[in-house]
Amino acid sequence: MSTPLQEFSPGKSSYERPTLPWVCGRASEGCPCHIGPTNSGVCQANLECTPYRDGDGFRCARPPAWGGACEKGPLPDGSCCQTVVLCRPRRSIRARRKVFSICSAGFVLGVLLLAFGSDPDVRNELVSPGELTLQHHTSRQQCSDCHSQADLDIDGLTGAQTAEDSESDDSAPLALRDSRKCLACHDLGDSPLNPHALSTGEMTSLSSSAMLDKHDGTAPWLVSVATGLLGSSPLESDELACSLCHKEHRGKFFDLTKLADAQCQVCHTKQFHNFASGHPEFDNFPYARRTRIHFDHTTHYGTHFANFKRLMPDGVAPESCRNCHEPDASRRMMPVVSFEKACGSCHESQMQGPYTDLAFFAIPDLDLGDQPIGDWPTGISLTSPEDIPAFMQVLLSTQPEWREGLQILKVAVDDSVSQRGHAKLAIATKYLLGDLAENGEEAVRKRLLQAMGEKGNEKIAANLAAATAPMVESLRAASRQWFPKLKEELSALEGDSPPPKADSAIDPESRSMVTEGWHIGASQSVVRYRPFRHADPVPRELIDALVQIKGIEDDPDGQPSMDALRTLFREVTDSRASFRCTKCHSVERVESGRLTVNWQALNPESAERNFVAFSHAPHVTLLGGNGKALQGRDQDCRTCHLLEELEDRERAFIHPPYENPLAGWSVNLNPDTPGCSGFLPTSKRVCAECHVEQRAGDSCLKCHNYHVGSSIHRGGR
Amino acid sequence: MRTFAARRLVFGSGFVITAAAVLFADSALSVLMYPVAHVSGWGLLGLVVFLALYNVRKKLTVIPLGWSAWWLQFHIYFGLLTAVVFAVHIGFKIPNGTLEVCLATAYAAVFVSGVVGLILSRVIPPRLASRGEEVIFERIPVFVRRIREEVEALVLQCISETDTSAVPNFYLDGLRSYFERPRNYWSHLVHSTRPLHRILTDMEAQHRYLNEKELGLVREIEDRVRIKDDLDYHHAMQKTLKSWMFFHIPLTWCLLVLAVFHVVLVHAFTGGIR
Repeated sequence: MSTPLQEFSPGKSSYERPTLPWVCGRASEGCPCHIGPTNSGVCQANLECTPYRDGDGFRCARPPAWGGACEKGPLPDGSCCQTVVLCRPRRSIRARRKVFSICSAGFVLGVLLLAFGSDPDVRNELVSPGELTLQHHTSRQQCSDCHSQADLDIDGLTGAQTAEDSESDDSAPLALRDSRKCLACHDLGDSPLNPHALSTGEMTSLSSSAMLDKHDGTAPWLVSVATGLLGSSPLESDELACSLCHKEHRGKFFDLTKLADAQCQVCHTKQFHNFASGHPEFDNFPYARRTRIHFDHTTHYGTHFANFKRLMPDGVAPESCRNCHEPDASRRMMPVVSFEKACGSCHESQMQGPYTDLAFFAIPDLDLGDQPIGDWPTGISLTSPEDIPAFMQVLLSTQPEWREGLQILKVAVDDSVSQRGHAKLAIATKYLLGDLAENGEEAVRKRLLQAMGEKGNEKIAANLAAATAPMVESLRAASRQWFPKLKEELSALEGDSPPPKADSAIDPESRSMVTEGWHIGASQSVVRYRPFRHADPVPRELIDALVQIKGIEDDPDGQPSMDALRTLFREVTDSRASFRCTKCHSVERVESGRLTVNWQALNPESAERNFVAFSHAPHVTLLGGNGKALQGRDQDCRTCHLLEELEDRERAFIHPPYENPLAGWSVNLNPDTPGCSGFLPTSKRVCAECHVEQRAGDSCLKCHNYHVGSSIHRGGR
Repeated sequence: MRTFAARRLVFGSGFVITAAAVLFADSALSVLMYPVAHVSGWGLLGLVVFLALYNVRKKLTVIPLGWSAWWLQFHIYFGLLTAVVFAVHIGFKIPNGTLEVCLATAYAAVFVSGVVGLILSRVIPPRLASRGEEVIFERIPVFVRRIREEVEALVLQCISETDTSAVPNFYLDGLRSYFERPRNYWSHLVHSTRPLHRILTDMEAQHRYLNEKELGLVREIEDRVRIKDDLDYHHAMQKTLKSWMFFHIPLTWCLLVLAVFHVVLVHAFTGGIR
């Protein structure tokens, strides 16, 4: 037996070359030739050796490893006598592996290219990195709905050029351009891609105030180390792409809004470990802003409802919070029910009666002597020129005779001059009355437009005129009584022979019995309006139009027409007299700078989204058992909403948040005035009883919105 | 190179520290809202390319690119590290896009085949050294042929010297196919000696029918049966050592193709790291 099998000596062992691509076809039979195939896999063996010349003869050149020189030796012509049978060379293992690798990669590449170049549905299925969330999943979903580069050609695929690039010179990063596609559906306001969707100014303001607050909390170690090592963060950019936080294509049920608390704390200077320990104490939550409707819970519960039988015999006292507050569709908020349901039984009657009257036109009581002005009413109670209605003053302010008369009265030193001034006022009154009687609403509109000047516009004037249009009919009727020959007198006044002074006696028995709406009062010299009920359209339209006038809330500035309008504004927004709308309905200045009247309580649908994302639904369910159980169980609501003690509550007809005592008890236009509804601010401790990690959870997004001020997705948490 | 234990300690420690660093970087970048998927994706692609270069390094023996042994060590530990980076890249969740699933499957197949190869390369060499003579894989057919020719010579000798047909018949019926080529691959792979015992038992059963001369020749044939079995064992083991690469390398190529496609799509749709 030949042992060892393998010998390693130059003469006995061939040199194996496993890296060569081809091996002899007879290697597997155990008898490979020593010549081997070419690199291209062709058998090159035909003879066992190439004999060499030795003197006159030839010698065999077969290598020792293959048996050495053969016995027969070379043929006489010098060729080898041992022929080798040709074989079919086989690929070496390494070469086979290489071929297999190339074929595999080629197959994969081919399948990819085939799929990519085939039907768009197949391509999209291949390209899509995963299913969209249910919110974004639609039956006609296309990549280009969200991706500006979705319509890929070869240039787009390689990033060289896109259709969009060629159309627009937008150099913004692609992620930001794609984010703008999101905004086609998601309305995030004027600065949608800014952090928190806030404008730079708002953000700076918030940051500045946050920096001023002292806070000794420490950040989670990961945040500290990460910011220490990496310094900056993409969050510090002016604009943030939606995809930075919202990761799509992660399946139908992926939470797009998922964000770690630590990620919030990268930017927020007040860093802390959790809600219970470190989160800043609430600041007047949730009453940092006054309610839109002025309502004092403390006095109502403590005084009015307690003495209900005596004070409001026809009133219906609420039995629980839910009598006045019902959950909205999303059960997130507990808006106030309608006036009729909540307040009407007691307050409807207060909307009626003579004390709600507001005068619009009055015949002034003038010392006319024998001034040639024609008829002037006698026998009825007239109004002092200083007390004539503001609305009439506005209309008269455009009448030259009125202004002239006022000037004369200012410098009047004796009765004759004074009478001349009064005569001018009388003539102006007659001109106004004649104009209104003849041209009606159009006359009011023109005069209001002139009175407002650059502070107003056509629309405001038209709205005001429309609101007071029915007044014209009352004036026409009154005019016939006061000045039976008004038309002739006005013609005469314009000519050279003014009509002589004459007393026009008014029959006291002819007074109108109408006391609601537009009516001539008992004095028979004043045209007034008395609301029919709560939510009467005339006061509302009047106030809505007046708040549109620029500077209407300012103090008088000596400009007669605007000062008259300001007086009118004060009259119609007086919480103590006339319409008294603003006793409950607050007036406030909104972001655009204009004024608005809160005719409704907070509407969940139009409520501005702010940083706090509180939903009553889970709280009511948990506290009240099953929601229904909350009925009649105010104690559950009072877990969070603690009423101020009656003895601690400031007694006031109108509380300061709604009225400005420093400005003549005018309406307070600043809505960010806390402490208005009689509740004590909710303490963080109350929330922290449940909101810990092990119970109800205490992540930032549990209670906070990221996008604020937007008009979308009010559902919140 | 240091001792195996020292080397494993150094590389193992390095791997653990690097893996921990990768996980920390993932957390830190996530907290700061950096696009972790892009960073980890490029890192992963870089690692895969580096791992694939080992195959190139083995072919470029002329260029001094460092010891192949070191390359192998880096290949192993960086290969293990890719699992960590991969997990970070997919966010520790199974992807659900078609291409992503293919890519993840390809990566998993490459990784598993690599681990299997690592295990085989650790298990098989000691076994090879413990049994029979160590032979070069390419020469095994030559040795098998040589043994077969020796056995056939013994059989012919038996015919000429004893003029009986028991041994030739037994060879033709039971041993000829055994000596033709390497046999019993799967049995050797699981370290089983049952086929050898079966042949030897069959041969032993013939002993009572043989005369003394035949018996001597049969014992010589039995020696060659054992040598052939050792050769078969070496063939099976070495073939296995070479075969796992038929999975690992082609899958790596497929992975690279899919990865390039993935990178192009990601950058076409998201603009990459901005």
